[in-house]
Amino acid sequence: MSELVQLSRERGVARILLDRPESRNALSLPMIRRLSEVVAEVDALARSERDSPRVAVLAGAGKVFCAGMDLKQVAADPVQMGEMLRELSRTLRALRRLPIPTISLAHGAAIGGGCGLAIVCDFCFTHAEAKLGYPEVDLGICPAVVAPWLVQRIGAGPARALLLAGGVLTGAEAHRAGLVTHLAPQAELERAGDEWADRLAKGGPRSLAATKRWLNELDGSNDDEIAERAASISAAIIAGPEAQERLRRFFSTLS
Amino acid sequence: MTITLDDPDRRNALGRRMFGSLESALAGIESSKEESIPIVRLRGAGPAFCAGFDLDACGGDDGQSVLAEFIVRLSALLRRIRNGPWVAVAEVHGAALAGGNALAAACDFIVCADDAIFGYPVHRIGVSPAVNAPILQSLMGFGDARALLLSGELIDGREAQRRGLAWRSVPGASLESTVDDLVGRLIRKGPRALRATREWLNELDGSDRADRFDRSRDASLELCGGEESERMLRELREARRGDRLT
Repeated sequence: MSELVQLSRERGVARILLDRPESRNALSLPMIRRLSEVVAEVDALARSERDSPRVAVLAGAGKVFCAGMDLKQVAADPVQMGEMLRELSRTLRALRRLPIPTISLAHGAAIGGGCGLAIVCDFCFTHAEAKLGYPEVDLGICPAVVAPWLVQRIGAGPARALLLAGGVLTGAEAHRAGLVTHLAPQAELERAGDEWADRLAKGGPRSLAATKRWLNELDGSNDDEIAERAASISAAIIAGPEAQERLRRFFSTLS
Repeated sequence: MTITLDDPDRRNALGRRMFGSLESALAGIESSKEESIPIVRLRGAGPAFCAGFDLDACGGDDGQSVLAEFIVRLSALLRRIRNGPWVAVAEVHGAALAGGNALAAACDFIVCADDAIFGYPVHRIGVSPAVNAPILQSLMGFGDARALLLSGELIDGREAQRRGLAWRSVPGASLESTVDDLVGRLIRKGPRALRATREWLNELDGSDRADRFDRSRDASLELCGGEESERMLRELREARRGDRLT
Protein backbone atom coordinates (compact mmCIF):
# COMPACT_ATOMS: atom_id res chain seq x y z
CA MET A 1 0.00 0.00 0.00
CA SER A 2 1.15 3.48 -0.84
CA GLU A 3 2.22 5.64 2.03
CA LEU A 4 0.20 8.55 0.62
CA VAL A 5 3.04 10.98 1.21
CA GLN A 6 6.70 10.12 0.61
CA LEU A 7 9.77 11.71 2.09
CA SER A 8 13.13 11.41 0.40
CA ARG A 9 16.41 13.23 0.72
CA GLU A 10 19.08 14.05 -1.77
CA ARG A 11 21.95 16.39 -1.19
CA GLY A 12 20.58 19.20 1.01
CA VAL A 13 16.97 18.89 -0.14
CA ALA A 14 14.10 17.18 1.68
CA ARG A 15 11.50 16.12 -0.91
CA ILE A 16 7.91 15.71 0.17
CA LEU A 17 5.79 13.97 -2.44
CA LEU A 18 1.99 13.85 -2.29
CA ASP A 19 1.53 10.33 -3.60
CA ARG A 20 -2.07 9.46 -4.23
CA PRO A 21 -2.14 10.06 -7.97
CA GLU A 22 -5.25 7.92 -8.57
CA SER A 23 -7.22 10.54 -6.59
CA ARG A 24 -5.32 13.52 -7.96
CA ASN A 25 -3.62 13.75 -4.55
CA ALA A 26 -6.88 14.86 -2.96
CA LEU A 27 -6.48 15.49 0.76
CA SER A 28 -8.28 12.78 2.71
CA LEU A 29 -7.93 12.64 6.49
CA PRO A 30 -5.30 9.85 6.37
CA MET A 31 -3.45 11.78 3.68
CA ILE A 32 -3.38 15.00 5.73
CA ARG A 33 -2.30 13.08 8.85
CA ARG A 34 0.50 11.43 6.94
CA LEU A 35 1.58 14.79 5.50
CA SER A 36 1.56 16.21 8.99
CA GLU A 37 3.89 13.38 10.18
CA VAL A 38 6.23 13.96 7.26
CA VAL A 39 6.38 17.71 7.90
CA ALA A 40 7.17 17.01 11.56
CA GLU A 41 9.95 14.69 10.45
CA VAL A 42 11.41 17.35 8.13
CA ASP A 43 11.18 19.85 10.98
CA ALA A 44 13.16 17.54 13.28
CA LEU A 45 15.76 16.84 10.59
CA ALA A 46 16.12 20.54 9.80
CA ARG A 47 16.74 21.30 13.47
CA SER A 48 19.31 18.54 13.88
CA GLU A 49 22.95 19.49 14.10
CA ARG A 50 24.43 17.17 11.48
CA ASP A 51 23.59 16.67 7.85
CA SER A 52 20.35 18.62 8.10
CA PRO A 53 18.37 19.46 4.94
CA ARG A 54 18.68 23.06 3.80
CA VAL A 55 15.50 23.30 1.71
CA ALA A 56 12.17 21.44 1.51
CA VAL A 57 10.42 20.84 -1.82
CA LEU A 58 6.72 19.88 -1.88
CA ALA A 59 5.44 18.22 -5.07
CA GLY A 60 2.63 15.94 -6.25
CA ALA A 61 2.87 12.58 -8.06
CA GLY A 62 0.85 12.04 -11.23
CA LYS A 63 -1.03 14.56 -13.30
CA VAL A 64 -1.65 17.29 -10.74
CA PHE A 65 -0.17 18.75 -7.58
CA CYS A 66 -3.33 18.50 -5.49
CA ALA A 67 -7.02 18.64 -6.40
CA GLY A 68 -8.07 19.90 -2.97
CA MET A 69 -9.88 18.36 -0.04
CA ASP A 70 -11.24 14.86 -0.60
CA LEU A 71 -14.80 15.70 0.33
CA LYS A 72 -16.63 12.84 -1.30
CA GLN A 73 -16.31 10.29 1.48
CA VAL A 74 -16.88 12.66 4.36
CA ALA A 75 -19.16 15.39 2.99
CA ALA A 76 -22.12 14.05 4.96
CA ASP A 77 -20.11 13.60 8.17
CA PRO A 78 -19.61 16.98 9.85
CA VAL A 79 -17.48 15.56 12.68
CA GLN A 80 -15.04 14.00 10.26
CA MET A 81 -15.07 17.15 8.12
CA GLY A 82 -14.26 19.33 11.11
CA GLU A 83 -11.36 17.06 12.02
CA MET A 84 -10.04 17.24 8.46
CA LEU A 85 -10.16 21.04 8.44
CA ARG A 86 -8.43 21.31 11.81
CA GLU A 87 -5.75 18.84 10.74
CA LEU A 88 -5.21 20.75 7.49
CA SER A 89 -4.94 23.98 9.44
CA ARG A 90 -2.28 22.46 11.74
CA THR A 91 -0.35 21.04 8.79
CA LEU A 92 -0.35 24.39 6.98
CA ARG A 93 1.05 26.05 10.09
CA ALA A 94 3.74 23.39 10.53
CA LEU A 95 4.79 23.77 6.92
CA ARG A 96 4.92 27.54 7.28
CA ARG A 97 7.05 27.31 10.40
CA LEU A 98 9.69 24.92 9.07
CA PRO A 99 13.07 26.52 9.82
CA ILE A 100 14.24 26.00 6.22
CA PRO A 101 12.92 27.61 3.01
CA THR A 102 10.10 25.70 1.31
CA ILE A 103 9.27 25.42 -2.40
CA SER A 104 6.08 24.00 -3.89
CA LEU A 105 5.90 22.69 -7.45
CA ALA A 106 2.24 23.24 -8.36
CA HIS A 107 1.89 21.42 -11.66
CA GLY A 108 -1.44 20.67 -13.30
CA ALA A 109 -3.79 21.88 -10.60
CA ALA A 110 -3.71 23.24 -7.04
CA ILE A 111 -7.28 23.75 -5.93
CA GLY A 112 -8.80 24.83 -2.61
CA GLY A 113 -6.81 23.22 0.20
CA GLY A 114 -4.26 22.17 -2.45
CA CYS A 115 -3.77 25.80 -3.41
CA GLY A 116 -3.45 26.50 0.31
CA LEU A 117 -0.56 24.01 0.53
CA ALA A 118 1.07 25.51 -2.56
CA ILE A 119 1.03 29.11 -1.40
CA VAL A 120 1.87 28.53 2.25
CA CYS A 121 5.34 27.57 1.00
CA ASP A 122 7.86 30.39 0.75
CA PHE A 123 8.14 29.90 -2.99
CA CYS A 124 5.61 28.46 -5.40
CA PHE A 125 6.47 27.38 -8.94
CA THR A 126 3.81 26.69 -11.54
CA HIS A 127 3.34 26.73 -15.31
CA ALA A 128 1.12 28.99 -17.40
CA GLU A 129 -1.60 26.39 -18.14
CA ALA A 130 -1.99 25.08 -14.58
CA LYS A 131 -5.23 25.71 -12.68
CA LEU A 132 -5.02 27.31 -9.26
CA GLY A 133 -7.58 28.88 -7.00
CA TYR A 134 -10.34 28.68 -4.48
CA PRO A 135 -13.74 27.67 -5.90
CA GLU A 136 -15.06 26.99 -2.37
CA VAL A 137 -17.92 29.53 -2.38
CA ASP A 138 -19.26 27.93 -5.56
CA LEU A 139 -19.81 24.76 -3.52
CA GLY A 140 -21.24 26.61 -0.53
CA ILE A 141 -17.99 26.11 1.40
CA CYS A 142 -16.13 28.86 3.24
CA PRO A 143 -12.37 29.00 2.52
CA ALA A 144 -11.63 30.37 6.00
CA VAL A 145 -8.68 28.01 6.67
CA VAL A 146 -6.72 29.11 3.61
CA ALA A 147 -7.76 32.80 3.80
CA PRO A 148 -5.10 34.02 6.27
CA TRP A 149 -2.30 32.57 4.12
CA LEU A 150 -3.72 34.15 0.99
CA VAL A 151 -4.05 37.51 2.75
CA GLN A 152 -0.40 37.27 3.76
CA ARG A 153 0.62 36.32 0.24
CA ILE A 154 -1.29 38.84 -1.91
CA GLY A 155 -2.75 41.37 0.56
CA ALA A 156 -6.21 41.64 2.08
CA GLY A 157 -7.89 43.55 -0.76
CA PRO A 158 -6.95 41.22 -3.61
CA ALA A 159 -7.59 38.19 -1.35
CA ARG A 160 -11.12 39.48 -0.69
CA ALA A 161 -11.88 39.72 -4.41
CA LEU A 162 -10.34 36.34 -5.20
CA LEU A 163 -12.12 34.38 -2.47
CA LEU A 164 -15.53 36.03 -3.02
CA ALA A 165 -15.38 35.64 -6.82
CA GLY A 166 -14.41 31.95 -6.50
CA GLY A 167 -13.53 30.00 -9.62
CA VAL A 168 -9.96 29.17 -10.65
CA LEU A 169 -7.11 31.05 -12.32
CA THR A 170 -4.60 29.87 -14.88
CA GLY A 171 -1.01 29.62 -13.72
CA ALA A 172 -0.20 32.77 -15.70
CA GLU A 173 -3.03 34.69 -13.99
CA ALA A 174 -2.01 33.34 -10.59
CA HIS A 175 1.51 34.59 -11.23
CA ARG A 176 0.25 38.07 -12.14
CA ALA A 177 -1.96 38.09 -9.04
CA GLY A 178 1.05 37.25 -6.87
CA LEU A 179 -0.14 33.82 -5.66
CA VAL A 180 2.84 32.07 -7.16
CA THR A 181 6.37 33.39 -7.17
CA HIS A 182 7.74 31.66 -10.27
CA LEU A 183 6.48 30.61 -13.66
CA ALA A 184 8.30 27.99 -15.77
CA PRO A 185 7.37 25.81 -18.74
CA GLN A 186 5.68 22.64 -17.46
CA ALA A 187 8.42 20.34 -18.76
CA GLU A 188 11.03 22.38 -16.89
CA LEU A 189 9.15 22.97 -13.67
CA GLU A 190 11.07 20.42 -11.62
CA ARG A 191 14.43 21.58 -12.92
CA ALA A 192 13.56 25.24 -12.24
CA GLY A 193 12.52 24.30 -8.69
CA ASP A 194 15.77 22.34 -8.18
CA GLU A 195 17.87 25.25 -9.37
CA TRP A 196 16.06 27.54 -6.97
CA ALA A 197 16.56 25.01 -4.17
CA ASP A 198 20.31 24.83 -4.91
CA ARG A 199 20.50 28.58 -4.77
CA LEU A 200 18.65 28.73 -1.44
CA ALA A 201 20.80 25.93 -0.04
CA LYS A 202 23.85 28.17 -0.38
CA GLY A 203 22.44 30.66 2.12
CA GLY A 204 23.49 30.54 5.75
CA PRO A 205 21.02 28.17 7.46
CA ARG A 206 20.96 30.23 10.64
CA SER A 207 20.30 33.50 8.85
CA LEU A 208 17.58 31.90 6.71
CA ALA A 209 15.93 30.38 9.78
CA ALA A 210 16.11 33.66 11.68
CA THR A 211 14.70 35.61 8.72
CA LYS A 212 11.82 33.16 8.29
CA ARG A 213 11.06 33.23 11.98
CA TRP A 214 10.91 37.02 11.95
CA LEU A 215 8.79 37.22 8.80
CA ASN A 216 6.39 34.69 10.29
CA GLU A 217 6.12 36.77 13.40
CA LEU A 218 5.53 39.98 11.42
CA ASP A 219 2.80 38.61 9.17
CA GLY A 220 0.89 36.70 11.84
CA SER A 221 1.93 33.20 10.73
CA ASN A 222 2.44 32.23 14.38
CA ASP A 223 -1.11 33.13 15.34
CA ASP A 224 -2.68 29.83 16.41
CA GLU A 225 -5.87 31.45 17.60
CA ILE A 226 -6.71 32.83 14.13
CA ALA A 227 -5.96 29.47 12.54
CA GLU A 228 -8.16 27.56 15.01
CA ARG A 229 -11.02 30.01 14.52
CA ALA A 230 -10.67 29.66 10.78
CA ALA A 231 -11.05 25.89 11.05
CA SER A 232 -14.20 26.24 13.19
CA ILE A 233 -15.75 28.70 10.72
CA SER A 234 -15.08 26.44 7.74
CA ALA A 235 -16.35 23.42 9.68
CA ALA A 236 -19.59 25.16 10.70
CA ILE A 237 -20.37 26.30 7.16
CA ILE A 238 -19.64 22.93 5.57
CA ALA A 239 -21.97 21.20 8.04
CA GLY A 240 -24.82 23.59 7.15
CA PRO A 241 -27.71 22.84 4.78
CA GLU A 242 -26.45 25.06 1.96
CA ALA A 243 -23.07 23.33 1.65
CA GLN A 244 -24.59 19.88 2.15
CA GLU A 245 -27.11 20.46 -0.64
CA ARG A 246 -24.54 21.91 -3.03
CA LEU A 247 -22.04 19.12 -2.35
CA ARG A 248 -24.70 16.45 -2.91
CA ARG A 249 -25.58 18.02 -6.24
CA PHE A 250 -21.92 18.36 -7.17
CA PHE A 251 -21.07 14.72 -6.44
CA SER A 252 -24.19 13.43 -8.15
CA THR A 253 -23.17 15.21 -11.36
CA LEU A 254 -19.75 13.56 -11.08
CA SER A 255 -21.00 10.00 -10.74
CA MET B 1 -29.53 45.62 -6.51
CA THR B 2 -28.22 48.86 -7.93
CA ILE B 3 -27.61 52.12 -6.07
CA THR B 4 -27.06 55.01 -8.47
CA LEU B 5 -25.61 58.27 -7.20
CA ASP B 6 -27.83 60.61 -9.14
CA ASP B 7 -26.80 64.23 -9.03
CA PRO B 8 -24.88 64.43 -12.30
CA ASP B 9 -24.75 68.25 -12.44
CA ARG B 10 -22.64 68.23 -9.28
CA ARG B 11 -20.69 65.13 -10.30
CA ASN B 12 -22.54 63.26 -7.54
CA ALA B 13 -20.79 65.25 -4.83
CA LEU B 14 -21.45 64.12 -1.27
CA GLY B 15 -23.66 66.72 0.39
CA ARG B 16 -26.48 66.36 2.91
CA ARG B 17 -29.03 65.16 0.36
CA MET B 18 -26.65 62.66 -1.22
CA PHE B 19 -25.61 61.25 2.19
CA GLY B 20 -29.28 61.02 3.14
CA SER B 21 -30.27 59.08 0.03
CA LEU B 22 -27.30 56.73 0.29
CA GLU B 23 -28.07 56.02 3.94
CA SER B 24 -31.70 55.24 3.22
CA ALA B 25 -30.84 53.09 0.19
CA LEU B 26 -28.56 50.96 2.37
CA ALA B 27 -31.15 50.84 5.15
CA GLY B 28 -33.68 49.52 2.62
CA ILE B 29 -31.39 46.66 1.63
CA GLU B 30 -30.44 45.93 5.25
CA SER B 31 -34.07 45.47 6.21
CA SER B 32 -34.76 43.08 3.34
CA LYS B 33 -35.88 39.69 4.59
CA GLU B 34 -34.50 37.73 1.66
CA GLU B 35 -32.47 34.59 2.35
CA SER B 36 -30.03 35.16 -0.46
CA ILE B 37 -27.18 37.60 -0.09
CA PRO B 38 -27.80 40.77 -2.11
CA ILE B 39 -25.17 41.87 -4.58
CA VAL B 40 -25.09 45.67 -4.33
CA ARG B 41 -23.88 47.56 -7.36
CA LEU B 42 -22.82 51.16 -6.67
CA ARG B 43 -22.55 53.49 -9.65
CA GLY B 44 -22.77 57.16 -10.56
CA ALA B 45 -25.04 58.88 -13.10
CA GLY B 46 -23.51 61.41 -15.50
CA PRO B 47 -19.85 62.09 -16.20
CA ALA B 48 -18.37 60.94 -12.88
CA PHE B 49 -18.73 58.29 -10.19
CA CYS B 50 -18.40 60.77 -7.33
CA ALA B 51 -16.29 63.92 -6.99
CA GLY B 52 -16.04 63.77 -3.19
CA PHE B 53 -17.51 66.14 -0.62
CA ASP B 54 -19.70 69.00 -1.76
CA LEU B 55 -17.14 71.66 -0.89
CA ASP B 56 -19.44 74.54 -1.82
CA ALA B 57 -21.34 73.60 1.31
CA CYS B 58 -18.14 73.80 3.40
CA GLY B 59 -16.96 77.32 2.60
CA GLY B 60 -19.60 79.36 4.43
CA ASP B 61 -19.73 80.64 8.00
CA ASP B 62 -20.83 77.23 9.31
CA GLY B 63 -18.51 75.49 6.81
CA GLN B 64 -16.33 73.78 9.37
CA SER B 65 -19.22 72.18 11.19
CA VAL B 66 -20.66 71.03 7.83
CA LEU B 67 -17.28 69.52 6.96
CA ALA B 68 -17.17 67.73 10.31
CA GLU B 69 -20.67 66.37 9.71
CA PHE B 70 -19.60 65.07 6.26
CA ILE B 71 -16.57 63.30 7.73
CA VAL B 72 -18.67 61.62 10.42
CA ARG B 73 -21.32 60.52 7.90
CA LEU B 74 -18.70 59.28 5.42
CA SER B 75 -16.93 57.24 8.08
CA ALA B 76 -20.22 55.64 9.12
CA LEU B 77 -21.06 54.87 5.49
CA LEU B 78 -17.69 53.24 4.83
CA ARG B 79 -18.06 51.00 7.85
CA ARG B 80 -21.62 50.18 6.90
CA ILE B 81 -20.79 49.30 3.29
CA ARG B 82 -17.95 47.11 4.49
CA ASN B 83 -19.95 45.26 7.13
CA GLY B 84 -23.45 45.12 5.67
CA PRO B 85 -25.14 41.83 4.75
CA TRP B 86 -24.19 41.98 1.06
CA VAL B 87 -21.36 41.83 -1.41
CA ALA B 88 -20.71 45.29 -2.84
CA VAL B 89 -19.36 46.09 -6.29
CA ALA B 90 -18.37 49.64 -7.28
CA GLU B 91 -18.75 50.42 -10.99
CA VAL B 92 -16.49 53.41 -11.50
CA HIS B 93 -16.27 55.68 -14.52
CA GLY B 94 -14.93 59.22 -14.56
CA ALA B 95 -13.79 60.75 -11.30
CA ALA B 96 -13.81 58.89 -7.97
CA LEU B 97 -12.05 61.44 -5.82
CA ALA B 98 -11.46 61.71 -2.08
CA GLY B 99 -14.80 60.72 -0.48
CA GLY B 100 -15.79 59.23 -3.85
CA ASN B 101 -12.63 57.13 -3.92
CA ALA B 102 -13.36 56.11 -0.34
CA LEU B 103 -16.91 54.94 -1.16
CA ALA B 104 -15.62 52.83 -4.05
CA ALA B 105 -12.81 51.38 -1.95
CA ALA B 106 -15.23 50.31 0.79
CA CYS B 107 -16.89 47.95 -1.70
CA ASP B 108 -15.60 44.39 -2.07
CA PHE B 109 -14.78 44.93 -5.74
CA ILE B 110 -13.92 47.99 -7.79
CA VAL B 111 -14.47 47.52 -11.49
CA CYS B 112 -13.46 50.68 -13.33
CA ALA B 113 -13.01 52.20 -16.76
CA ASP B 114 -9.41 52.55 -17.91
CA ASP B 115 -9.83 56.32 -17.93
CA ALA B 116 -11.46 56.57 -14.50
CA ILE B 117 -9.63 58.90 -12.12
CA PHE B 118 -8.84 58.03 -8.51
CA GLY B 119 -7.05 59.97 -5.82
CA TYR B 120 -7.18 62.22 -2.78
CA PRO B 121 -6.34 65.78 -3.91
CA VAL B 122 -7.44 67.19 -0.58
CA HIS B 123 -4.34 68.41 1.25
CA ARG B 124 -4.37 71.56 -0.84
CA ILE B 125 -7.73 72.41 0.70
CA GLY B 126 -6.59 71.50 4.20
CA VAL B 127 -8.62 68.30 4.53
CA SER B 128 -7.07 65.01 5.68
CA PRO B 129 -8.11 61.73 3.98
CA ALA B 130 -7.18 59.77 7.13
CA VAL B 131 -10.81 58.64 7.40
CA ASN B 132 -10.19 56.19 4.53
CA ALA B 133 -6.73 54.97 5.56
CA PRO B 134 -7.57 51.52 6.99
CA ILE B 135 -9.56 50.38 3.97
CA LEU B 136 -6.97 51.72 1.59
CA GLN B 137 -4.17 49.94 3.45
CA SER B 138 -6.10 46.72 3.21
CA LEU B 139 -6.58 47.14 -0.53
CA MET B 140 -3.20 48.45 -1.65
CA GLY B 141 -0.81 47.50 1.13
CA PHE B 142 0.86 50.00 3.43
CA GLY B 143 3.34 51.43 0.94
CA ASP B 144 0.99 52.30 -1.92
CA ALA B 145 -1.74 53.53 0.43
CA ARG B 146 0.74 55.86 2.10
CA ALA B 147 1.84 57.25 -1.27
CA LEU B 148 -1.70 57.80 -2.58
CA LEU B 149 -2.97 59.43 0.62
CA LEU B 150 0.00 61.74 1.08
CA SER B 151 0.76 62.73 -2.51
CA GLY B 152 -2.66 63.87 -3.66
CA GLU B 153 -1.64 62.29 -6.96
CA LEU B 154 -4.39 61.30 -9.42
CA ILE B 155 -4.16 57.87 -11.02
CA ASP B 156 -6.18 56.34 -13.85
CA GLY B 157 -8.06 53.04 -13.82
CA ARG B 158 -5.23 50.97 -15.20
CA GLU B 159 -2.81 52.29 -12.62
CA ALA B 160 -5.45 51.70 -9.93
CA GLN B 161 -5.57 48.05 -10.96
CA ARG B 162 -1.80 47.81 -11.00
CA ARG B 163 -1.64 49.13 -7.44
CA GLY B 164 -4.39 46.86 -6.14
CA LEU B 165 -7.04 49.55 -5.66
CA ALA B 166 -9.22 48.25 -8.50
CA TRP B 167 -10.02 44.60 -9.09
CA ARG B 168 -10.38 45.11 -12.85
CA SER B 169 -9.87 48.04 -15.16
CA VAL B 170 -11.49 47.71 -18.60
CA PRO B 171 -12.20 49.95 -21.58
CA GLY B 172 -15.14 52.23 -20.79
CA ALA B 173 -17.34 50.54 -23.39
CA SER B 174 -17.15 47.20 -21.58
CA LEU B 175 -17.48 48.51 -18.01
CA GLU B 176 -21.16 47.70 -17.67
CA SER B 177 -20.91 44.21 -19.16
CA THR B 178 -17.89 43.39 -16.97
CA VAL B 179 -19.88 44.30 -13.88
CA ASP B 180 -22.88 42.34 -15.22
CA ASP B 181 -20.67 39.26 -15.54
CA LEU B 182 -19.23 39.64 -12.05
CA VAL B 183 -22.66 40.14 -10.49
CA GLY B 184 -23.94 37.13 -12.43
CA ARG B 185 -21.07 35.04 -11.05
CA LEU B 186 -21.58 36.21 -7.47
CA ILE B 187 -25.31 35.46 -7.52
CA ARG B 188 -24.56 31.79 -8.20
CA LYS B 189 -22.33 31.33 -5.14
CA GLY B 190 -23.59 29.78 -1.92
CA PRO B 191 -25.01 32.82 -0.07
CA ARG B 192 -24.18 31.45 3.36
CA ALA B 193 -20.62 30.64 2.35
CA LEU B 194 -20.25 34.04 0.72
CA ARG B 195 -21.46 35.82 3.84
CA ALA B 196 -19.23 33.78 6.17
CA THR B 197 -16.22 34.31 3.91
CA ARG B 198 -16.80 38.05 3.82
CA GLU B 199 -17.22 38.27 7.60
CA TRP B 200 -14.02 36.32 8.07
CA LEU B 201 -12.13 38.57 5.65
CA ASN B 202 -13.46 41.59 7.54
CA GLU B 203 -12.13 40.09 10.73
CA LEU B 204 -8.74 39.29 9.16
CA ASP B 205 -8.20 42.81 7.80
CA GLY B 206 -9.75 44.62 10.77
CA SER B 207 -12.78 45.94 8.83
CA ASP B 208 -15.05 44.63 11.59
CA ARG B 209 -13.39 46.80 14.21
CA ALA B 210 -15.32 49.95 15.05
CA ASP B 211 -12.29 51.52 16.76
CA ARG B 212 -10.27 51.47 13.53
CA PHE B 213 -12.99 53.44 11.75
CA ASP B 214 -13.51 55.76 14.72
CA ARG B 215 -9.84 56.60 15.12
CA SER B 216 -9.47 57.28 11.40
CA ARG B 217 -12.54 59.49 11.49
CA ASP B 218 -11.17 61.37 14.50
CA ALA B 219 -7.84 61.91 12.74
CA SER B 220 -9.70 63.64 9.89
CA LEU B 221 -11.95 65.51 12.30
CA GLU B 222 -9.00 66.91 14.22
CA LEU B 223 -8.35 69.42 11.45
CA CYS B 224 -11.92 70.70 11.34
CA GLY B 225 -12.29 74.14 12.82
CA GLY B 226 -8.58 74.75 12.52
CA GLU B 227 -7.24 77.91 10.91
CA GLU B 228 -5.71 76.03 7.95
CA SER B 229 -8.85 74.18 6.98
CA GLU B 230 -11.07 77.24 7.41
CA ARG B 231 -8.82 79.52 5.38
CA MET B 232 -8.18 77.06 2.57
CA LEU B 233 -11.83 76.17 2.11
CA ARG B 234 -12.82 79.86 2.17
CA GLU B 235 -10.21 80.62 -0.46
CA LEU B 236 -11.44 77.74 -2.56
CA ARG B 237 -14.99 79.05 -2.41
CA GLU B 238 -13.89 82.56 -3.34
CA ALA B 239 -11.84 81.25 -6.24
CA ARG B 240 -14.83 79.27 -7.51
CA ARG B 241 -17.09 82.27 -7.18
CA GLY B 242 -14.53 84.23 -9.16
CA ASP B 243 -14.62 81.58 -11.89
CA ARG B 244 -18.33 81.94 -12.16
CA LEU B 245 -18.18 85.72 -12.42
CA THR B 246 -15.60 85.81 -15.17
